[in-house]
Amino acid sequence: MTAYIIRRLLILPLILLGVTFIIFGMMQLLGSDKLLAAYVNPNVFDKLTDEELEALKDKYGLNDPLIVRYGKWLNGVLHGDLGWSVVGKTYVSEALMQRIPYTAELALYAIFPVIGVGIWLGIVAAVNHDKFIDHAIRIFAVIGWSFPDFVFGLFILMIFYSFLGWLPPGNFSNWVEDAIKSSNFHYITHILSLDALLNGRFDIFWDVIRHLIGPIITISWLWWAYLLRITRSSMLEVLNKEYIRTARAKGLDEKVVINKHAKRNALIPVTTVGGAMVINLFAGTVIVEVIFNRVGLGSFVAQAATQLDYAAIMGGALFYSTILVVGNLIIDILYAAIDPRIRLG
Amino acid sequence: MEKRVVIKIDNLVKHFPIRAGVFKRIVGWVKAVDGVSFEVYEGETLGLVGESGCGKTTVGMTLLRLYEPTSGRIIFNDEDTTYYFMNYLKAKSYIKRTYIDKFEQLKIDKGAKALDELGNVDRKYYKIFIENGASGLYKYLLSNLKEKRKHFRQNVQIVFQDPYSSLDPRMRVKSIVAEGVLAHRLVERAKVNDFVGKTLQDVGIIPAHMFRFPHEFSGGQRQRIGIARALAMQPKVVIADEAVAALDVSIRSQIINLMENLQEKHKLTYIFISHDLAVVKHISDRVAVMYLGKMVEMAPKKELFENPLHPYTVSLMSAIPIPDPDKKKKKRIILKGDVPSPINPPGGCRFHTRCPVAKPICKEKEPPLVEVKPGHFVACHFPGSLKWKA
Amino acid sequence: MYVSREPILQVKNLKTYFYTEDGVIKAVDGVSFELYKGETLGIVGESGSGKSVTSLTIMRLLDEKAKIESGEILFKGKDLLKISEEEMRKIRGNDIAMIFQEPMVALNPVYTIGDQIMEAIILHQKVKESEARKIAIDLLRKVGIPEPEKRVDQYPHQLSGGMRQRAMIAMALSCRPQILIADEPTTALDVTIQAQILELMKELQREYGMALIMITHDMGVIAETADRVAVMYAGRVVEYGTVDEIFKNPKHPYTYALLSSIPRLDVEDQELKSIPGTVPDPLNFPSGCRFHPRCEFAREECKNLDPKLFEVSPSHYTACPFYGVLENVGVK
Repeated sequence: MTAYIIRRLLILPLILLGVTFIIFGMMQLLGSDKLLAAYVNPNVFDKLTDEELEALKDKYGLNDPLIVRYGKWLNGVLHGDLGWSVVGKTYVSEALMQRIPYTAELALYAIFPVIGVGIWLGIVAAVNHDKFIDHAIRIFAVIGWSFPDFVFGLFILMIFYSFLGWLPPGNFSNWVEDAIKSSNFHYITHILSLDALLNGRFDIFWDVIRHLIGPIITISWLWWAYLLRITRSSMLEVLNKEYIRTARAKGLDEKVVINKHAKRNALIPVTTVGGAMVINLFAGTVIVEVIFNRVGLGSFVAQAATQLDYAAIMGGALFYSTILVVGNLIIDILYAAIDPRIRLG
Repeated sequence: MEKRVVIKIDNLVKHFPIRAGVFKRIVGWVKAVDGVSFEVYEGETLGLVGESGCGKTTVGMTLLRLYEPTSGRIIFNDEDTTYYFMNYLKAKSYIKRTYIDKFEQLKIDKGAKALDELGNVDRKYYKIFIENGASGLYKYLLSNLKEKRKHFRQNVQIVFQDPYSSLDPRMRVKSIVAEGVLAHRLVERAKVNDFVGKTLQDVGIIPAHMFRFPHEFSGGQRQRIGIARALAMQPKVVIADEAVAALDVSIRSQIINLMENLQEKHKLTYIFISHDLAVVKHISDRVAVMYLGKMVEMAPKKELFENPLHPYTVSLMSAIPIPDPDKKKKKRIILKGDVPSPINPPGGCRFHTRCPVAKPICKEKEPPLVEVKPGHFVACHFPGSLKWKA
Repeated sequence: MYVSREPILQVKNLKTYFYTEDGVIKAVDGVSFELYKGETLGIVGESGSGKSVTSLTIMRLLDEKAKIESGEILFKGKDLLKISEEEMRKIRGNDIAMIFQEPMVALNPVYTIGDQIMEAIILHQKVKESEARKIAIDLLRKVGIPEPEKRVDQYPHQLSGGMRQRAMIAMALSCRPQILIADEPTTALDVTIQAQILELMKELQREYGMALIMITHDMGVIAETADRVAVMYAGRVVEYGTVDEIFKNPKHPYTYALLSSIPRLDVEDQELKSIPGTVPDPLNFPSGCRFHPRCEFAREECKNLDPKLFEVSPSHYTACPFYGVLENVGVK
C-alpha cells in the first residue's frame, strides 16, 4: 500500500513534465507572431513595423528554440515563478492563488449534494425496480441528462434571482467585499465561508452560501442524472448476485440485505465515476462561473486560453494535472478500502 | 504396425511471472507446467486429466502457442515447431541453444557416428548440419516461417469448454466456420456455402442454419458449431479443452459420441483435456494424469484403470461418485487438504503433502517419471502402495 | 440410518411460473414430493428442469418476475406459502437453511467469513457479538477449516474453493436447521474436494439429524448421498422413488436414458447411449409428456398425456403409463 502510494507520487512529476511540455509545444506551434499578441495591446499591434515586432519577440524570448523556452519556463516554475499573466494583469501564481479558493469552495460544498443525492436516488430506483418511483427517478434522469447545463443555470438564475430575488449571482455581495478587506477580518483557510465562521461573522457566511446555492444546483442536476444511472444499474446487478440470495436465505431483513450486503458492493464501480466527478468539480466549472458571474479558476483559464496567455494556461495545466493525479490516487485508495479483494501494489 | 508420433512434447515448462512492488519487479513464478513430456500417436486420443491448477489447460494452450513456452520443445510431424512464433532473433537464439551448440560438440566428439544415437528430429537436423553446416541448418529451419506457421495453425485446432463465450455472438455460423478456411485458402470463395453446409452436416447441424447467429442455438448445438469450426480446417490434431464439461448430461453423451465418430471418419488425433475421469476413460486410448504442473502417471487406458500405480491416480478414481447405490457403502479415500499453490509447490514429490502413503523420502527427493511396464509411466517412489477398487 | 416416516416437508402440486417479455415460463409445473425427518431426498435434473426453482420456491426467494400459481408447501403442517414475509424470515436460515453451487459468488466478497456467519447467529439466536464469534469459530472448526481463529477474520477470496464451501456449510448450519437444501453444492469443486465435502455433509447430517434436499445434475452424487430420489424433467417430476428403485429399476424412459448416457468409471467398454434432441425450451414445452419428442419409446398417446404419477410400488412412482416397455429392453 505505502509502496503503491509512493510509486504513484513518484510518477506525478513525470506526468506534470509530460503534460506541460505537450501543451507548451502545442502553443509554440502557433508561431511567434500569434504569441506576441499576448504581450501587445491589439490597438497598437497593427501599427508596429516589422523591425519593432522582431525587437519585441527578442525581448520576450519568442525567437528562442522550443526547448530553450520550455527550459526557461521550467526553471521559473522550480523557483516559484510561473510568469506574468496578461489576462490577470498580475503574476500567474498570484492569479491562481486568488481564484483557487473560490473554485475549491464551490467544489467542496458541491461534493455532498452531487455524490450523496445521486447515489441515493440510484439506490432508491434500483430497490424499487420497475415500480412508480423507479420510473419517476428515471424520467428525472432523462430530463437532467438532456438539459444543457447553461440553459439550466440560466433557468435557476431567472427564477431564483430575477423573480424571487433569493439567490444572487457573483461570489458575494458588495458589502462583504468591504468587510473582508478590513483589517479585523483574518484569513485563515482562504476558503471564505470557513474564514467567516472562524471570524464569527455568520452574516458573511450566510451571504457566501446564498451565492453558492445556484451554482451547486446547476452542477448537481446534470451529474445526479449521470451518477444515479450508474448507481442504479450497478445496484440492480448486485441485487441479482448469489450472495444477496444467501443473505436473504439467512432470514435477514430486507433493509439489512440492501444496506449492508448490496450497497457496499454496488458502490465499487460508482467510486470511479464519482471520483472522476469530484476531480471535474475542481477543474471544470467554467459555465457555472460564467452564468453566475463568479470569480474562479475555470473562467480564468478559459479566458487565458482565448487570449493565448500562455503563462496562465501553463499554470492552469499544472494545477489540473496535479489534481487529476492526486485525485485518481485517492480514488484508488478508496477503492481498496471498499473492496478487500483489491490490494494496491 | 509402428505407431507414428504426431505430437511430441519434450520437457515443456511454462512459468507465469508474478509482479509486485514499486517497480513491478518479478517476485515469483506460477509454475503452471513444470517439465511435462509426452507423445501423441496418429489417430489416437490422449486424455489429459487432473484437477484445477494441475496445468492441463496450460499444456494445451502452450502447445497451441497461445502461450509462449518458457522452455522445452514442441514437435509436430517430426519438425520442431517451438520457435515458429518467436521473433527472428529469439528463434535464432533458440536454434543455436537447442541444436547448433550441441551439434558442434557432437561433431567434434563423434562425427557422423552420432547419428545413430539421436532421436528422429535431432537426427534429421544433425544430418543437415553435417552436410550444410550451421548456416545450412539455420536456413532449413528459418526459411518459409510464415508458411510453417500457417501449416501448424491449420493442423492443430482447439475446441473450447464454454460454447457460450467461445463463439462470436455477432458472427453468423457460416462466417464462424468459414473464417479460418478462407484465411488459409483451403476452399474457394465460390464454394464456401457448400463446404460449410457439408461440415455442419458432419456435426449434426442442419446446413440451412448456417445463416443463423450463435444465440439461436442451444448449448449442445453451439458446441457442435465449435467442433465444426475446428473440423473445417481439416486438422490432424484437435485439442478438446473441457469440451463437454459445460453441457447437460443428456447432451454430453451426444457430443462424446459425435467426437468419436468424427475421429474415425476424419482420422483425427485428439488431446482430450478434462477434469472428469469417467469421460476421459470413455473416450481415450491412453491417459495422462497431471498434478501441480507435473505428470504423475501415464498409461494405456485399460492398464491405467485396472492397475493404477500412483497414489494420486488411485485417490482420484476413488473420489468419483459412482451412479450405483450399491457402491456407496465402499469407503473412499478422502485426500486431506487442498491442492497446494503452484507458486511455491512442495519440494520432493509434489503430492507428498496430501499423499496417504507418503514416506520421508517423498519430501526430500522428487521421483522421476519412469516406465515401469511397456507404456506405463509413473512418477512415484512407492508405486502401487495405495490400493482401492470400486 | 434412522429415517422416520413422518414428513417434515410436503410439497403439493406446486406451480411456479415466470412472466417474462417473451412469454410465460412454466418452470415448476405441478411438482409434489415429501421430505421425511433425517432423510436425504435427491432432486436430479438437467438445466431447465425446475429443480433450482423448486428449492427457491420453498425458501420463497424468487424474484418479482416469478409467481407461485398454486400449490402448498407444508413445513411441519404449516403452509409456507400462506404465512407473512415476517414469519418466513424467522424460518429462513433458522429452520430451513440453504447452500448454493458457487461458494465464490454465494459469499459476499466485501465482508469477512466470520461476519457473514455471525450475522445469522445474532439474528436468530439473539446472542451477543462476542458469543456469536465463539460459535462461528467452533463451527468453522467443525466443518474442518484449519486455524479457525485466523480464518474467521478472512475474506472469501482468501480461501480456496473447498474452504469457501465449508464456510458456506458452517453458515447454513449455524442455527441447527431441521432442513438443509443444498443446490449443486459440489458442482464447482474438484473431485477430491467434492469427496471431502460430501463426506462432511453426511457426517453433519447424522450429527444434527437434519433432513437434506440434495439438488444436483450428477447421478453419481445422487447415488452416493440420497435415500430417495425425484427425477425432474421440464418442470415436472417424472419419476420418484427410493434410490435403489430409481437406479436399478428405472420406470421412466428419461431416467433410463439418462442412466445409460453417463460415462462410468466402473464399467468396461461401455457404449454410450445418446438422448437425441435438445433440452426443451422452457418457453415452449412440448405438449403431453414433455419428454415425448426425445423418447425412443414414444407413441401417439404421449402427445396428449395428463401429467400425473402412476404407482409402481408404494414407494415408487413414474409419470410414464407405458413403463412396461422398459422391461422389453432389458431393464429389470
